[in-house]
Amino acid sequence: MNRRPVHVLFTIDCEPAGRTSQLGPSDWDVGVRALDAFLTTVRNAGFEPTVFATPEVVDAHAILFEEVPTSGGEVGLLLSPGSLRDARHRAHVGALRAEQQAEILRHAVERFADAYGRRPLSARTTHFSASDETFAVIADAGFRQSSISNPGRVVPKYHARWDGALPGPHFAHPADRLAEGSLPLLEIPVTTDPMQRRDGIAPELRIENGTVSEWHAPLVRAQLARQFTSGERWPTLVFVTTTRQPFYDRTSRVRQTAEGLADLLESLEADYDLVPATPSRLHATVASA
Amino acid sequence: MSQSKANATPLLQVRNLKKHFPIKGGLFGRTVGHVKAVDGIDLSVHDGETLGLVGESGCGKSTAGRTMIRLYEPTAGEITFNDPQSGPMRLERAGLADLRRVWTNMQMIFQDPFSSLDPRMSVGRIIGEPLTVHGIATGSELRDRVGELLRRVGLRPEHQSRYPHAFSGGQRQRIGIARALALNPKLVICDEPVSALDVSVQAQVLNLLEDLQDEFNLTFLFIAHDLSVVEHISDRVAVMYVGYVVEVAPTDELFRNPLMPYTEALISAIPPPNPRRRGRPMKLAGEVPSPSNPPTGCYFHPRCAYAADLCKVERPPLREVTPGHFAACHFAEKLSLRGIDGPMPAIDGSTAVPASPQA
Ligand SMILES: Nc1ncnc2c1ncn2[C@@H]1O[C@H](COP(=O)(O)OP(=O)(O)O)[C@@H](O)[C@H]1O
Ligand code: SF4
Ligand SMILES: [Mg+2]
Repeated sequence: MNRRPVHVLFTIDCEPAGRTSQLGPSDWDVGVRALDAFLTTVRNAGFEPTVFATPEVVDAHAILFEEVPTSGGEVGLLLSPGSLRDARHRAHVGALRAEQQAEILRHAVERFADAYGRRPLSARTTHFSASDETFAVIADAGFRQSSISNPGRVVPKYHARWDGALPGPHFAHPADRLAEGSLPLLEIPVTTDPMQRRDGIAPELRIENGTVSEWHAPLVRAQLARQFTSGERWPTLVFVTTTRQPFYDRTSRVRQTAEGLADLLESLEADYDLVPATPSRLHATVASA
Repeated sequence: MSQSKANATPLLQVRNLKKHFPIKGGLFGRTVGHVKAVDGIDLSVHDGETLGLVGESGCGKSTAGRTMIRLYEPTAGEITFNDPQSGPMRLERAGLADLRRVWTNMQMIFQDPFSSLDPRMSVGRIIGEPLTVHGIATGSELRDRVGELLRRVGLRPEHQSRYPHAFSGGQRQRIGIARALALNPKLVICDEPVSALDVSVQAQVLNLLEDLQDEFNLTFLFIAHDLSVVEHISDRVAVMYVGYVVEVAPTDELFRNPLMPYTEALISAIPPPNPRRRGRPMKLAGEVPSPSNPPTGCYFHPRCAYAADLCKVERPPLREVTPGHFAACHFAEKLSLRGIDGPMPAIDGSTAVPASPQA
């Protein structure tokens, strides 16, 4: 039997250091160590990292960020109104009106481009926060890919409502965050198990959640099975994590989990053709099909 | 390395070098034992060569490297450095003034690119510090020299004003290399300079080191636990096991005709090929003995498939078994050990042969 292609994305969210919001690392040194160790671990496992970063982070680790695309990997924007310097709006993205979202996005993209030398083409929002208009706003700002939906998650205080969201990559809808549509924006949902939701959170492929044998392996196997029985057009595994995790510490659980995931994925190679992917690469594959 | 080089006076030579760390314990912090991190090694590093030093984590590689250039005071043994300016110098009891002078000719590149650069110093200060300390350059001349060093290691002069947290691990290793080269040294101890980097960046940094070696006529003691890294860069390889050198030979000879069972075990532990996943760890069966309480006889005997009664009681000395090939095994002549048959795996995993091991 032919091995079935599965596109594998390892994504990391980078919030600025030293914030009271608890989303970023304690300081820039810890943050750059975590990010560098994540990139190294993902590359050594044979995959291509996707880094979603706020403009402050890109600026702080600017020379590292220059190297990401040349070493295999993609840098996208993490839209985080709460940590964006000089932002006019501080609410979660999904709580803002479309014009406010557009305004803050323009500001973030400008600052990102100043630090990075070019505009980002892929985006995520902090806390997976979005309204029905978010995808249209992002597409209008020139983005080509996003990874914002987290099927099954319902956290009203963050304006993250993803019950009934499509589980697989799809072109986004201009007025309905849960529907497929005609926007030129490929939305790539985080891999979750919406059926197992508890307290508004669906189990997701978050590296720091649990151990490989108890958390990731069953989730990966179940979601691959579901994607193939439901005839998902572009089967994916989309992992998430953040730079708060001590990937630099070889003895830390998260580092060992990341290395254990490399073993898990290798064990799947008999049945699946695991394709290293980033949002842009997956979009190119979808577009050429 | 050519034979003539091998016969010339070594740049650095150590005899019976030992470095024991005291273990403190009890109520009064008395010394209750010793970690025999380096326990009697003989080694020569020849001018212009790269000598690889391999062994599992904890076997004493870093301690050996640091003691050889007197960053640590040896417990015993002789260290002779053939200083290009002042001729042969004994370092084991040298005073600080003499050491300061020879250290301009001996530099070190460290394993962890994050802890080896001071996060509060700009890159310009980090690289320029040796030049300032030795009164070699100041002001715009200093900036120019630092800029040139940055360019030489593949970074840009304007990176001088940045702080370490702007850089990736691979870029930081380049900064560490620039700093090590600032004083134009003869000998550079490279202590696992690529083992924290991903495999493709490893290959880039190794290529850089090889280019710099040619350009600046450098001699390297290159420490690694990864055989493919050592194979890639070394003229000769020394294998260490629990504080002791157990085999030394020209690289190709060592990998094809190992004479010591531990070397055979290291070679057989290279992971099988996987074209996608290149950075897999090498796994060797059995535990590494503690250097504070090593086994009797040959330290490798509890893990050795060929061990005999003699091995449990008598420690085999390192001896020249065939010309230029030294091994510490009672049965080096009798055993026929397996080396590598085909080409060695490329460090970036670009050949079809086994993937590079990596920690
Ligand atoms: N400063 C030190 N004090 C006490 N023990 C040490 C020190 N440095 C190293 N050791 C011990 O010496 C042994 C050899 O360590 P090291 O030289 O770092 O090995 P390697 O570089 O091969 O991993 C280990 O058991 C280590 O714990
Ligand atoms: S001396 Fe004995 S135990 Fe040691 S490596 Fe040789 S055969 Fe093995
Ligand atoms: Mg070491």
